[in-house]
Amino acid sequence: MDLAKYAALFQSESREQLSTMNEELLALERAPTASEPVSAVFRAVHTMKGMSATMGYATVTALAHELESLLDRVRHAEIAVDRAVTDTLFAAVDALERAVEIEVAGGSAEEAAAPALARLRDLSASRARAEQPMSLSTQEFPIPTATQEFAIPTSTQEFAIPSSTQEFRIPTSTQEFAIPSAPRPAAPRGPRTIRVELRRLDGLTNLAGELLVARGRLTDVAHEIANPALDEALAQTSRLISDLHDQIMASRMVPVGQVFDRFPRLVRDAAKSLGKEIELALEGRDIELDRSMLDEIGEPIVHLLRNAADHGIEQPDVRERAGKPRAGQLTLTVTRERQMVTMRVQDDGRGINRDRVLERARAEGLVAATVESLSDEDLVRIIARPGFSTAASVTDLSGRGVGIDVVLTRVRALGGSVEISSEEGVGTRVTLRLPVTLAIVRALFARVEGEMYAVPMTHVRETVELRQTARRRVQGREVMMLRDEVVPLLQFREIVGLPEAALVSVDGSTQVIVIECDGRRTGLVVDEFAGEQDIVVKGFDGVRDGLALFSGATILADGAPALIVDVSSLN
Amino acid sequence: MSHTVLICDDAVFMRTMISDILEESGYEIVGQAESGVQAIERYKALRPDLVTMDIVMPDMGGIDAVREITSFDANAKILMCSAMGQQALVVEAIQAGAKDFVVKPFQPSRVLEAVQRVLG
Repeated sequence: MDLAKYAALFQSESREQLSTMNEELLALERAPTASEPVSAVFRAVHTMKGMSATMGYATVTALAHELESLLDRVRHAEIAVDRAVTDTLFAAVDALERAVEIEVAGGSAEEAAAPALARLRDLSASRARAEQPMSLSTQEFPIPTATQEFAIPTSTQEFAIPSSTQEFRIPTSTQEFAIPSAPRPAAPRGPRTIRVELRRLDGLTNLAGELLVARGRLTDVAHEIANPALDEALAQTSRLISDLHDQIMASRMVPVGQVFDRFPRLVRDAAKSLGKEIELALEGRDIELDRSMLDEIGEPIVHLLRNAADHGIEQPDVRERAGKPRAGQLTLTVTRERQMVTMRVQDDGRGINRDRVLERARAEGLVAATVESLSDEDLVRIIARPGFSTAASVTDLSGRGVGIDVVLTRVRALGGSVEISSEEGVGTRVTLRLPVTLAIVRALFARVEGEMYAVPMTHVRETVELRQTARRRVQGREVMMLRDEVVPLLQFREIVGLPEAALVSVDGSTQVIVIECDGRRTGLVVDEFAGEQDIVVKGFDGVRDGLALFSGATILADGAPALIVDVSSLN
Repeated sequence: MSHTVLICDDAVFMRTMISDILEESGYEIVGQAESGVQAIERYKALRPDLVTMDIVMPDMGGIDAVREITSFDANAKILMCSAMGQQALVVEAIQAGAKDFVVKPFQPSRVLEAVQRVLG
């Protein structure tokens, strides 16, 4: 049998099993006498052993076997779970993970797995002496040194089967299983899945995107021709293209748990190395997000979790003195609201020391010397500056300083926004708001001096024709009156370095896009609105070159490029 | 007419492999189950000619599932799929009513032999 075609399936299912093992080991560590986590880890390890043996992956099989033997003894209360046991189990699961990747790639994992294997055996042996001097139960499971030992018995006789089983061997004719006269119900197979390379989905997404662009062009042409039959055919085609697009986008969605499920383990390791106690609660792991977005956002979230573990949450004794529980509470909550996903990292640690931030900010000239207190907004602005740090020492855990700038830059590049609120002694909350997909966004187009600019609709509140009479100047800033609200105005021309418009429309009104970011509204004055469209976001090097105003670019129906405005940078 | 088979294993990998082996030889896979509880449900709904049953599964293990299925249908034909080191469990499963067993890692020829034996 050609085993190669099963390797990818083995790999992806192994990853799921490994994720289960980590999850359950964390549960076991919290409740060392609980039996369900042990059984669950045992089942996962056992399943992996069966799969790896079938694939002929000797090291994975040997590791799984040794792990299974140890777990079996834990299960039968021969070994009590203590820190040495959980640490060994964690190390073994890590080794198992490496071995899977190595053996699937065709390499030999023997060397990589040797330390963990030795550690498992040592632990097994030491506990055997200490706790079970007589019953060497591991001997029932000889360690396979070569796959040959897995030889399948040629006949069932090799195993002593009670003679009574013979009665079951009496051949029974299949007629006894006469199929009911009613037609057999369709097999309920549950949702059927196939695995598709992300590259292929990306290809489809791109094509669907190009199709949307082509539709735009076609609509323009049809409008000029004004033929009812053409319009009808186009309307139908247009609907189909929209449906196709929706289906493709839906196929890219995966639950955030696929990436976030490794975080509890990561936080545990961070806490251990810092000598802290931290409990991470993960909420909303079933919320779905575009795979490409999920891949991009994993790293910033890790950064925030590490920050919280390192700088936020205090040492257990410090917490106790402050009247808090010894274990710090860290929560990662994911919620979805239409096309936006919110991810919130919250800790109950020491919070950000505003006085220290203020002191540093004054010293660096980031705020006026007269400023006495910092709002949440000022706080974000200041600590998000590259390299800004009040940390007394740099630890290897969260890198150099707070590094919020890294998170902010990345999230903005993804079309999202960051909000930080912190209260000293109570904790810090960082909220990321992101679009659910990276690939295609709905945007409002605006023309300025003949150039087209796209403003993502996720940030557009409304568009208004602003009469001259509704414009005011407040404290030297231009503002507009929007119903009863005062909204600051920004001249897009000024931002991109163009001279003020000579042309004002006949009635003296201007066109304003009201954008909202982090709960604040701003009016963006443009020359002309140019309609709404779905756009395919293309990578844009300008972002990396410090052109913070734009987050990307897109190609218009006529082939001309348009820049995508990074709304969060306009505040 | 080809024989119908219900495959019970908690690993997609294993289900896929068993399914491929059997389908290639003309068996019809009418359903799959990933736990003992599901296996019983599906057995009752599908009445397959043969069941392949993993021993270690979440919810309810394979041996308990064999007991339930054979108490519902004494003629159920169940083939146990066990891993190495589960001899004791295999014996228990046979006592519970399973007809035969194969040991992982599978070799297609062994699986097919066992299936033919069980189906008589």
